Amino acid sequence: MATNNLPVKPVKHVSRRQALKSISKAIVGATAITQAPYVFARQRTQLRVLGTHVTLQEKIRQKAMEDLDIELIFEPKGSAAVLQKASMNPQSFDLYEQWSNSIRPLWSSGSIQPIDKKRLRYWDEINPLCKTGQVSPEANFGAGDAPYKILHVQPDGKLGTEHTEQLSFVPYVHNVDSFGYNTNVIMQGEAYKTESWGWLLDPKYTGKVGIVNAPTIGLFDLALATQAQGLVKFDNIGNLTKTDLDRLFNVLIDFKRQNHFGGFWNSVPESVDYMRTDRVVIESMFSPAVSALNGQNIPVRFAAPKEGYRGWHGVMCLSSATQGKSKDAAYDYMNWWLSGWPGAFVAKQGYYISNAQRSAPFLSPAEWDYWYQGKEATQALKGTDNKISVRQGDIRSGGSYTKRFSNVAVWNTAMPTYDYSVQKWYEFISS
Amino acid sequence: MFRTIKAQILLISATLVLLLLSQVFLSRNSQSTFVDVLDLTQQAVLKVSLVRELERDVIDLQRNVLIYKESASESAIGRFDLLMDQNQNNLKRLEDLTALEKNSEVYLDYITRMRAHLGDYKENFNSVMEGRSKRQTLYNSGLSNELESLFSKIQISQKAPIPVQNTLEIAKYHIARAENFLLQYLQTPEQQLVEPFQQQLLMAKEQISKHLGSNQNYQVVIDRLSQLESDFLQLTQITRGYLFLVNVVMAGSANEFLFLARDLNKLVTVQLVETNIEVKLTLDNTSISSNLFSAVGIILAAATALFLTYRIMLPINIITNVFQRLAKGKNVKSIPSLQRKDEIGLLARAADVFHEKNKQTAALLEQSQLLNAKQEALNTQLVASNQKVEQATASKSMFLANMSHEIRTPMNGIIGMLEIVMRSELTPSQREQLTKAAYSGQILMSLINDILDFSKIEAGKLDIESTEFSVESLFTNILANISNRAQEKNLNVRFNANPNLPAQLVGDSLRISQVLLNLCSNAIKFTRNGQISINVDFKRHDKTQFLSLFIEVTDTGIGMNAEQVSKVFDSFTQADGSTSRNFGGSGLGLSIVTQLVELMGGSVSVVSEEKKGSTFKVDFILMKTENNDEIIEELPVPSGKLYYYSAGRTGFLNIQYIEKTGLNYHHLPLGQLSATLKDINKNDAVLLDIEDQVVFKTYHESIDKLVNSALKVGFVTNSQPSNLSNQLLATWPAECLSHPFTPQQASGFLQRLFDTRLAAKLSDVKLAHDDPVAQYEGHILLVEDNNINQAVASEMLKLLGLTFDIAENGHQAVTKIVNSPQYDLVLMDIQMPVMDGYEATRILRQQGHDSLIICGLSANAMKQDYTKATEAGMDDYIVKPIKQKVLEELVAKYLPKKIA
Repeated sequence: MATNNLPVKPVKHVSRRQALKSISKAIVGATAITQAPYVFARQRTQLRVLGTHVTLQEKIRQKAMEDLDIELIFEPKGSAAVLQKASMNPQSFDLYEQWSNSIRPLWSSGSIQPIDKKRLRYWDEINPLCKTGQVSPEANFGAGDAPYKILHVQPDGKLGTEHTEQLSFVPYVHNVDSFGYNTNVIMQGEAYKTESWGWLLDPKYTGKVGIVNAPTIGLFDLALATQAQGLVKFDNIGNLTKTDLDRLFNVLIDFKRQNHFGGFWNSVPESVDYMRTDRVVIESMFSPAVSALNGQNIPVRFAAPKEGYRGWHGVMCLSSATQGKSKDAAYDYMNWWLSGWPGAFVAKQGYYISNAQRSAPFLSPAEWDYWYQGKEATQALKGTDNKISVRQGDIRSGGSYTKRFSNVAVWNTAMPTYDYSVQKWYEFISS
Repeated sequence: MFRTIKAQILLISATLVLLLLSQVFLSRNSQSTFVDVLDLTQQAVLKVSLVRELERDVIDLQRNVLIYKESASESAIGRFDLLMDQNQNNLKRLEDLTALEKNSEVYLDYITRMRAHLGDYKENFNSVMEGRSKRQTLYNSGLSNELESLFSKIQISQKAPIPVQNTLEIAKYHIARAENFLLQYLQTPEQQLVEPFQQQLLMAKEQISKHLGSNQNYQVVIDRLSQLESDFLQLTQITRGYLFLVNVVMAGSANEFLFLARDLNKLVTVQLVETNIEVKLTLDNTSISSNLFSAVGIILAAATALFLTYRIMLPINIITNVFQRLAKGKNVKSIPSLQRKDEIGLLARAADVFHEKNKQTAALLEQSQLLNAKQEALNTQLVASNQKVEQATASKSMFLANMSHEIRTPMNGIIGMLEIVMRSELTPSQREQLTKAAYSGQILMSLINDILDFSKIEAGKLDIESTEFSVESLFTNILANISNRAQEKNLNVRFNANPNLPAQLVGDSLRISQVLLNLCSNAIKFTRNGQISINVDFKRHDKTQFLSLFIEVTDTGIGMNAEQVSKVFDSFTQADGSTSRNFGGSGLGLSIVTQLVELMGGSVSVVSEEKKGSTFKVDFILMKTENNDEIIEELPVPSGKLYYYSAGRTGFLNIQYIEKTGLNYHHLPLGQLSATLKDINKNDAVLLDIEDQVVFKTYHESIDKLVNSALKVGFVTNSQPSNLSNQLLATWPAECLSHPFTPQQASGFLQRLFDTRLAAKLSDVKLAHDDPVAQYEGHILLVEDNNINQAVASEMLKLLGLTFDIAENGHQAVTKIVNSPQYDLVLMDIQMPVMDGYEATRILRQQGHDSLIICGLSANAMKQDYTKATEAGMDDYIVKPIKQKVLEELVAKYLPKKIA
């Protein structure tokens, strides 16, 4: 799951009732448990991590502190807040965990410092997705800011594809997203063949379509949808011009005015509610929400659109203000993330890790086969919350890791026209 | 169970009441439902308006956020806070309003989510404000000034070499360009403007650094340019951040809030509609059930009316008709509803019974009418025979009265003649024989009088007089009458009266003495030996003129048994049949006593014991007079004392008498006579009870001493022995009082005891009594139709030395007087043929013979006769048979005595 700058509801604002109803059953990643800071007897190195709920999970924090003998302070926030805080005040954090689309603003603001590739113990194990942009020779590169395009610090100080010894981020958690639909209402389609982003704008589902309220994500869902419907044609869907955006939003506002959209969800639990309460039958989705709904016996299928997925990639960055022991601890923590256990942990939540082979020993063969190989689950699989999240016989939609990442249509991207898109987005959702 | 009409009516009533109650309940219920529903409707309307307000306020919030975003207006913040509060309040109100509803959870869910969005919105707005003001600060204090000052700080000296001048000009150009980009960014915050800005600054720095060697001051400029870049980058970050918040996050929250609001609006609207439908449904239901109840009620009422009419009214009507027919005695062929088992059936059976009874009654009536007729006939017979009986009784009484009257006249003649004869000189044997004849005449006369009285009483013709009389005279008369008869049988007679008895009383003294004489005669008659006691007492009736006189007559005679007592007052009855044979008498005495006593407002009773004696008690009601004298008056107190010696505590002389006289006395036992002699002074008097010869002899000596001491001595003796008093008087010069005596006699005796002069006088009077008949002068007219009476009266007048003429009737009398008015006195009979005495007297008075003394003679000693006589003009009135003594008194009254 997880997205880029999608704002995640702060825990304190989610009512207990709502949490009980929808969240707790399924979503582990999206909800963090804030605990009082530990007090230790001896002085340990503090490491402040600013990020989102996707990766700032309490189990991970505990495990890391145990493994690394450091004191971890997690500060989970919504995407936008995280980004703003990081870009304006590098002194307030040591490590930053977010999505690849936040790299450009951070890098240009000088809030993060380059990461020394040599200090990354498992660099060589990291798969080609971030290195060459292709997990297989047939794979699409995907439009927009594909991670490999912004990983290396170029000699001119900018970010580019040329491999250097300095990185803007450590590649780790990533995934592909699409839309989910209720098969009680919509006949199940065929992965990569009939399933299409175009369905989001199918007049059959007028009033029952949900979109994520995030310009960097929902915009691409809708752009893919309009293009799939043949309503607009874009030269480069990953870098839309103002004109492209005007054309796109003209179409969308038209749909909006006909009440085509049932709602724009602001959090994963909300997206679950949308589907659960029949407010929508088809909507942009993150994979944990799909699992949650399936767990509630609502037959939601996470589509594998023939146009390809919308990809996203997690990034771990080092604050430009972090030096000394903290920096060492930060490197330790980065290496820890790629050391196997964390990758296996998030794998059970549906996320992928960049050096999967190191996590494989931490997974059962059935888990490995299901999550990474796209095979039928030979047994019921439990999630990190120890509850059954996958029934025996289920097959992950979209197939194996390779298959899915070979079909990325576009990456979540902060386009140069981002500011304009935000303005247009406002016009759209408020129209 | 519901066989009877009562139960049926009760059942119907109960049903009706139940129906009524349910209707009341129903209407109350529907009313409260209506009120509830009205409440619901109001609440729903309130909810709708609240939700609308929420919607409106959020839209307004967004508007204000946009205003703030553009202008950083303070007023927009104020408005934002106000709207936020308003929204929170409205949510709270909505929560309160829906808290009690059945789907409150749904509402709460909505409200909670809306609150969360609102909270997010508020928090994000705070961030926006922070960012916006930071941006303002950055721009105002840093960027714009700094760029401007840098621009002016780069001094291009004319003295400087041309390349230097050129490079500085280029740097300034780049700075100006950068400022241009900054302004563009502020206008439209786009990321694309960041890089050109950076580039221009970089180029400016490059130009300046070329001349860094020549002027160290330029390093400062370069540093400042770097700072500028950093500030700008920060500004863009901040701008981007709050714009993202406003345009995406807050817009998302607001939209979601609005969506929820709209959903909620739908919900409450649907609820409102539902409520309205419910209201309508409730009203419809209420009206339907009310109508239904009404219909059922009407049907039931109608059914009740029909039931009452056909089941009760009509049958009752029919039965009533039947009863009316039965009551009128008409025949009824058949009675309806006899088979019914309810009250009507009972009524019908009652009618049936009534019918049967009617028949029986008719038969009975016939019988009783028959009997009645018989009864009436018998009654008529009875009345007739009763009348006959009464007539017969009356005739008998009349006959008896007439007969007695007729017998009396000759008897008067006989007695009168005998009296006259006995006044002539006779041989002792002749006198004895004549005395016996006179006695027989008296007996016969009294017999006849009894019969006459009885007859009068029977005929209701006896009247009780009411005249003043002397009680003492009454007692004297009675004692005089009975003393002789008691003496004949040697019986003691005691008379005792209450000394406080009034001396004069008003009543019929004649009848009182008749009663007493009757009782006393009986007592003497039925007593062989012993004594007769007569006690007189009285009782005043307070505050009235009346008093009751009680008289007791006690004897020691043969007495009576209870059966005899019960019959003793009946007419013609004596104690038993043998009584007449042994004692004689008509048997009328007590009957007459009873009747007379009753006539005088009294009663008579008897207590008797066989062989021991009887006590008769009578009482009368009498009237007192103005005179307050009593039968014993207080005596003038003498100087001496009275010494009274008696054998027992109760002496022969009633102590009450002595006390009444007021004498100073000592009552002592007779045995102490000699012992107390020395105490007696010469002024004192001594009174002694002498019972018989034994006592006389015992105390002879003592009495001698008394007499010798010249003391006054008196004796009291019983009636018997009768010669005792003579013996005493012969022995000593003393006074002697013998029983019976009246209270006044006792009083007089005591007075004489102290005053011997009086005693001498009294004995003189006594002696004078035996003088020969006095002679009178005068000429008398005797008017009398009866020859016997003429003869008797003539003889009596001759005896008195008077001359007389005789007239046969009133008419003759008038003629004689008119012709020769030389008469001194007229003795006028009342009942005469031709003209009666009243008539004659009236004529004489009318003719002017006023001074002529006319004296009436009548056999009827009745009060009205006397009154009539006075009215007619008579001067006096005497009763026949004329007694010599009475006639002499009369004559003495009017005529002078012959001078010898």
